[in-house]
Amino acid sequence: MKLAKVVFTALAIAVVFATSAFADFMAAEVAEKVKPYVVTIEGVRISFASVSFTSRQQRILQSYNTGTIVSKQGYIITAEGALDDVEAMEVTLADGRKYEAVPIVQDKGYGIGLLKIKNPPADLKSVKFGDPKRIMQGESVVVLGSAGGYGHTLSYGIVSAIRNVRLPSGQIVPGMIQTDVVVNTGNEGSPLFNAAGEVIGMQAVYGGGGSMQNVTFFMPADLVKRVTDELIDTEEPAFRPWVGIMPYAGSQNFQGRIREMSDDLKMYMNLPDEYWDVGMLIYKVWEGSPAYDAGLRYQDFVVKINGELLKSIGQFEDLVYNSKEGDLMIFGVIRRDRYQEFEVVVGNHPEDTLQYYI
Amino acid sequence: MRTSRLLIVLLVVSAFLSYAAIAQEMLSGDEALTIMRETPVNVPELIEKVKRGVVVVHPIDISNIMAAELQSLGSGFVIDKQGHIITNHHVAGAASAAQIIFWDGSKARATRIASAPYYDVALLQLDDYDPDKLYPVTLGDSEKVQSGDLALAMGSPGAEEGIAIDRSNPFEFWGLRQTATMRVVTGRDTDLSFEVYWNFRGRPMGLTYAQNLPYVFNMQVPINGGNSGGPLFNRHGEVIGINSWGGAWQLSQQTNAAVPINFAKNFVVEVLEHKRHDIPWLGMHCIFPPNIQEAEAYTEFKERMRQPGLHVYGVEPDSPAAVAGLRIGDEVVSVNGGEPPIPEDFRIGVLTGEIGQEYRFEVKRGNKVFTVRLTAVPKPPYIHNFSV
Repeated sequence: MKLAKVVFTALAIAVVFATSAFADFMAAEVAEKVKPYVVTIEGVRISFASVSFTSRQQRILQSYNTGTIVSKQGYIITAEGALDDVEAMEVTLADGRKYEAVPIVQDKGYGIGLLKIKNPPADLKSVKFGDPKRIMQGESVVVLGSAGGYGHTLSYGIVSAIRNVRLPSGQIVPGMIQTDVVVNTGNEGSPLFNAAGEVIGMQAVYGGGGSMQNVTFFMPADLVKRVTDELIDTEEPAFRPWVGIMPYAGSQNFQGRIREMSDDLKMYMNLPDEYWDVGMLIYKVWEGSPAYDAGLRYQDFVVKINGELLKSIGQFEDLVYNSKEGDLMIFGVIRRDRYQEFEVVVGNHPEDTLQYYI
Repeated sequence: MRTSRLLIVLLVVSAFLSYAAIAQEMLSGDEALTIMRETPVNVPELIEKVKRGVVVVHPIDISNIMAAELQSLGSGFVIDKQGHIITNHHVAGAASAAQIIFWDGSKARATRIASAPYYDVALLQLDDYDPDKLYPVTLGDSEKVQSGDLALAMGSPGAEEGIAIDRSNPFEFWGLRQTATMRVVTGRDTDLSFEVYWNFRGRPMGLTYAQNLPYVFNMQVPINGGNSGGPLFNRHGEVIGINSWGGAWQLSQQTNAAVPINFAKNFVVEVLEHKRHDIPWLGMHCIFPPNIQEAEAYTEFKERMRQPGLHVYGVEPDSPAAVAGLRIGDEVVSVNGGEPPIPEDFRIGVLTGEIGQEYRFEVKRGNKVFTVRLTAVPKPPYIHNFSV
């Protein structure tokens, strides 16, 4: 009997995964299954809009966001913007029950906000995170969110691509999920479900700053889970490794593109032949950052990190992104035609920096 | 009891699998098409099959190197092992050459060998290529496409400022390479084939592209700037269209248009084999007046072209219409002895007809009604207006 049950479950799972690849799969079934995990978050703010030169009027502004229940204790994750200057928060479950919630922590770096239901009901269910490594391009996905404040709105589509994308905070996220699902204002923080009803992502960036249709990026679930666990544990913004360097990358505002160093600039810097095709020019160093404390300065040319040649800015970014707090990075730098080494201790990214400090 | 339940599950699964297998085999015939339309499609497999044929097209204007950086970005697709690539005229039509970025990120240079503004199709030839590394797409038949058919668009929608991609790969800034989007074809549209560009004062800059397309595909498939020129696949991975116009700039979602592939196919075959491409033409203006420039007039005539009654608004010199003696103000009462024709349908009929085809018009001029005969000739290359 046990064997039959196991085989039956295995077959059922196989069928679910087989159909997960189909475009016209049962979005309705998935939606019905995952509805209890999704909540509409209503935030209330008070603004003092100036009516005339002398008087101001107090106004109450409402905002809507989508949240996901991540624990039975009532913790909910959403986009960090939902917690901005919020005076009161109310959470609506799929069955219409409303609960008061309190903001816990706002992680601007990863764009995740954590809140908690004040008196959580006993039947609260926490969502299951899927494995984003198994996502295929073209897989069908479902989004439940409060588009424009209309709670639990269903939209669906396919995974358009998987690529590295930068969050508004400047944090690069490898393996971001690009989808062609329709999302609107109010969908910020919406969970992305696969056909098995697992969360595989969280809405993070609109393509083209919202000027493109159906280009939406979702943060992969493994990162969301790691950050969420850290937020619940520490109630502090999650650790983001940084050294505090802004690399020179050409003119950054030119058509939104970033180009790396030109040959003219390399010639002007009088670089030796062996470093001609490698290296990264430091454009700015954030004052008080680990790199600043170690002695790195503007116009230093980084050619080696930990003894290995540095090929591109992307490689540097990967190195920093994959290091832990307190890790030592040895920078081989050319300063005024002389090779020097600096020891930098990786620190935590503060929240008040400008975008492109790594 | 439990064994029987297990057996039933096994049966269901095997039936499902065999059904999919059978449906895969029956590709010919209308019945098979109907069955296929109801069968689910494995999208990841489909994308894996077709994605190697999709390229990024970055036009380079040799005459103005400073402007090269500001040129637009589009998509395209490889059509054969001889290194031919199809894209939109509005992507590569103005450039003499283009940089091609393949699916795996490798780059090559291509020269533009032909361009058809009237179909919004451009044909590029790779300068230097390895045939083993080209993965041509299969061209399908756009006549068989019906409303509601699933369609997959692939391309590289452009990234504007505000979206920041991995900076180690600068090309990622220009386009989200290998983006796949999927929805349905909504239907055929003749309106959208008249594309009007408005200048900053709100005046139309001219009815530029695709004047000679009988119809375009109207579709829900989301496309953005940069998707232009990219392929639109059907569920078998055959190209049925070229993604051309997005509705996003009109603040509408999922009202997009694609050029049906048959017109591009004919154009490419004739350019490669006969070095020219001909369009049937009579030389009479019966959709818009020849000098239309005002937005109000444009709207008015666009509405009128769906009403029965074929009015001659102008005649091109030395055209079949001029030779037959048609004049401004004439009204064509019937074509080939039929009902009073609808201008839109008449235009489509001529465009999809043959060169040398004869048309018998019953013309009403004042109180007189008389018959004239016109023979369709190839459209001269210097005619850039809406004459049919």
